[in-house]
Amino acid sequence: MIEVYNVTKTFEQIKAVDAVSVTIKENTVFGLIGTNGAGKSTMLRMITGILKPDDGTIAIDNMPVYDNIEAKKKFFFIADEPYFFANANAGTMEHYYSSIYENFNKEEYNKYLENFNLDKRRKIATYSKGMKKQLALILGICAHTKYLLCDETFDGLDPVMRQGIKSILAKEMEENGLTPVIASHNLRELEDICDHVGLLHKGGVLLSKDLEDMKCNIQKVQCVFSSIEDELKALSGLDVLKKEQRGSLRTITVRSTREEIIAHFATVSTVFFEVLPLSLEEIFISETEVVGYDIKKLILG
Amino acid sequence: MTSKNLFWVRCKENNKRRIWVWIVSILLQLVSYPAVMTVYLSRIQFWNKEGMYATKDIYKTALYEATADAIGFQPKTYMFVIILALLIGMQGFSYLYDRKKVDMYHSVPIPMESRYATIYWNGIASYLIPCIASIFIAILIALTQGAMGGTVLAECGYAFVLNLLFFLVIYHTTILAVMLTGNKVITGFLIFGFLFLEYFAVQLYNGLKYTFFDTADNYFTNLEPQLSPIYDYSMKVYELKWETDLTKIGDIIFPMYIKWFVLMAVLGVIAYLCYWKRPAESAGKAIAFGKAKPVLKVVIATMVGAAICYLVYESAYYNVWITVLAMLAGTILCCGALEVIFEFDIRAMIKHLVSSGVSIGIVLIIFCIYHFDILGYDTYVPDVEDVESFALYTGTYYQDYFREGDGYDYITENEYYKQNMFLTSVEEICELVKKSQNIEGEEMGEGRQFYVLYRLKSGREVSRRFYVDFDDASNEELLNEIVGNEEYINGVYQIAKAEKVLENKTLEISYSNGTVEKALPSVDAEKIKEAWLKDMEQFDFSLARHNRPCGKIELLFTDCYNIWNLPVYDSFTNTIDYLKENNAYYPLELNPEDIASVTVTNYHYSLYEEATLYEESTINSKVVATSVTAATDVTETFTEPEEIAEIVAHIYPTNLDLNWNSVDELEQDYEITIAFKAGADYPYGAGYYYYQFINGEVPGFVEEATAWTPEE
Repeated sequence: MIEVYNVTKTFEQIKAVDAVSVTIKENTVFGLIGTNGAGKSTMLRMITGILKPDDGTIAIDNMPVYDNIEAKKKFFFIADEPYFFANANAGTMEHYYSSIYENFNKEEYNKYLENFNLDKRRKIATYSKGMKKQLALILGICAHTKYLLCDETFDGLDPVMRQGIKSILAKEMEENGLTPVIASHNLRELEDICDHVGLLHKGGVLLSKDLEDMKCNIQKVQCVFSSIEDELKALSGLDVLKKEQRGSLRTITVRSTREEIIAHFATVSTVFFEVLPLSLEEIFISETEVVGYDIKKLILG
Repeated sequence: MTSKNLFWVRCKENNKRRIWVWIVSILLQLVSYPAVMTVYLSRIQFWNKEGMYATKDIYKTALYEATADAIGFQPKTYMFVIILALLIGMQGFSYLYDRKKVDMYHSVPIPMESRYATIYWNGIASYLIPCIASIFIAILIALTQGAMGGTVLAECGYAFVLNLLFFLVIYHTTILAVMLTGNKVITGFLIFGFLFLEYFAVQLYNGLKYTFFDTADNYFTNLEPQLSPIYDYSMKVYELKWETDLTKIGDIIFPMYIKWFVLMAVLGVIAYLCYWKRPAESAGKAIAFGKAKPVLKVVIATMVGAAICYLVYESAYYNVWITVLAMLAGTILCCGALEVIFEFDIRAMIKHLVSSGVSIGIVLIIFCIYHFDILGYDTYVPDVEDVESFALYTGTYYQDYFREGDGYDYITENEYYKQNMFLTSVEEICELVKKSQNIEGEEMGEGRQFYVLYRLKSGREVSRRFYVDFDDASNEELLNEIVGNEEYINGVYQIAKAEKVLENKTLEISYSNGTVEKALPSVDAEKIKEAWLKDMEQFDFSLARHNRPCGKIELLFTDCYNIWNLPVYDSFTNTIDYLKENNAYYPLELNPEDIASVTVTNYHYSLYEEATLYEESTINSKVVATSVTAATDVTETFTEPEEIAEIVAHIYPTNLDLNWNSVDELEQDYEITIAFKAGADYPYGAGYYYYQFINGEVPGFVEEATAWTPEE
């Protein structure tokens, strides 16, 4: 488990991360979402022990991470712009990382390179941006560390590749208990892969929740009430996050389980009633609007 | 894998990315040692074939010297060493400038100390291994040519250690600069600053001192950089190169070894601490540690301000306002420029005004200290009770001094005075200095700048320059007390302390009255010394000021060409008696009957202005005035016996020294050349002899004959 507690980091006069606390559980895919400048990279760079927090603590499996080799053996970090040695090819990088990570699997590495059509002898400098990210991911996966920390790694990958990587991650999670932590500014990219999402904005955490919990606990109800009294009665016992009205059709976003909603609306008279599933985007819109943010402007663009 | 094995694996990995550094190092070292060795030896062999070396021994010595030049102390080596140290230091740790590299290197499970050690030791190896290999090849070349001896090998060993320590000092300086910065250009500036800051600070201190203080002395004490390895190396390498005695090389080099080792160790420790403390986010920034910025800014801006003060004050003819304005403008601009560099943002120019204010404040304080002499530099006179002894340089004697020993090492005059002159007329010197400080410019008579080194009882040494008015009668008494004693003679004339050196077989002694020179038996050296020192008991300022020497005894050590000159006055009866006994004494006065002709040239220096005419000429289509000076010298030869007799009664030979006498003692406009008759009794050598007229004693007929009139 990665525990980030009350961490603050200031660059000159600018607070990049402000009193952030996040817990990343094992064997889940943690998505760290935020706009450019929200502090995602700074968070990851602190989690990986590159940067030293000004305040707060970070522990990986109960070990402080800054300048702690044992803690660093637990993860592989893929930066937003991964660095490869000058004139290096995939073989050079394999040699380097295999000398550092004890569990580096060379066979697997070669297999993945082949599967992703990456020429091992070709200079990495001649790779496209997407190919470099693929190579970094393959190196990270083959290092067989417990955590794989990726900073904007899926940006620039085509959908096929992204799907391929996701499959590998799923396999590694299942077989080796890998815990990927993926930072991205694009919510849609993480929607189908993350189990848990932390939303960063202006250096602080707006929310950090399990996606399933979020999905199960927020429902969208579309209904037409028989009377005003029925509507008031129905809404009075609910935690309404958002309410829209188009003619007599009401669209209500409610924090509750599907079963509880159905049971609640059974007690009032409705002309039409339907509980709809929310997309991750809609859940985020609702959750962040509650705390006063317009999420569309933040991460959906 | 054990940690030892891991270290080698990491070194190997690291070296893969430093191959080009190895190549540069190998090439430079191959050029520096084996290539140079080959060229030097083949040159000697070529000259040998040309018959330049008379004996095999001389040829062998030449070969040894060539080998020593190639792998011993050689000035060119330090440029190679500097280049390699800068290159290796910057390349090794330059990953810290790049965020992408920092992200990768600092996220992988490699301990920080291990990463540092890998890069650090690989850097040293990339210098050391090619260096040792190149020297080894050079030695093999020398051995095959029979050009290697034990002394040369030892010198090579000394030079190798010196170069290694020099490399380490520059290498550590470079690493420290990298740790403190986040950008190659700024690192370059900082390295330059580290290597030369002290040198510039010292030059600035000396410069300001001499510019502002009338009593600043640069004879006995001149502050020199102590921590600059480049300055040290450039100052000492020639001394080491020409020294052949291994013991003496050791005497020079071991203090350097110790100093550089300490310097290297201190820099290394600071660099390592900075590596630990360096924030990763400083990659790409100008300065890695925010707190270092105001310190750097104040130091640099203050130095720039002080340098402007030094440069402008004299150029602006000591105008205070122009100097202050220039200093302020320079300091403010420097502060702004530094902020721009630190932030990479032109708008940052007016940021951090507190540090700018501090810089301006310090610069103004420095100016006030110098301009108003706040610390009382020019009015300093020590308390008589505080002074143990003093040394005094009167600017009068020009002698060679050397350390007595096998090699007769030449030492400078001021060094000799420091080591041998211990005068105790403290009250008199303090009185003389005080009088000098109270004298106004217009009251100054003819005199001379003296330099005094006070040795205080506290162990401190303080030196000053002061002007002594020789025309002031009250000074004469003081000067008689100061210089008319054994202490002074012992401090100025090395012969007074000489012992074994007088038995030197290469010593040649002669006496000259300015015209004739007679050799004296060198076995009499001790006798001559005794007689002359006995006579010198009567020496004081009055004697030297009011009398002209009638001759001089010259002691020449032909093995080192050092010369001692001993003035002889008419009253030196012991010396003159000895000279007479040896038929070496000749009076100053010449016998007119021995002279064939006297040629007098009057240069008319005072008429130079009058003789300068301005003519119009055209340069690049512009009409300009050009000066044309007519020749003012007029030469006349006198052959009449009466005229010759009149002239020789008023002349003095140019090659006798008038150390203490008035500068107007001799007439400067005239040059007199005398041709002696072939059969003269007086033992003149062949050729011409030069004289000057005694001031105010130029015969009228000479003046008339050599008068100059401008051409119409």
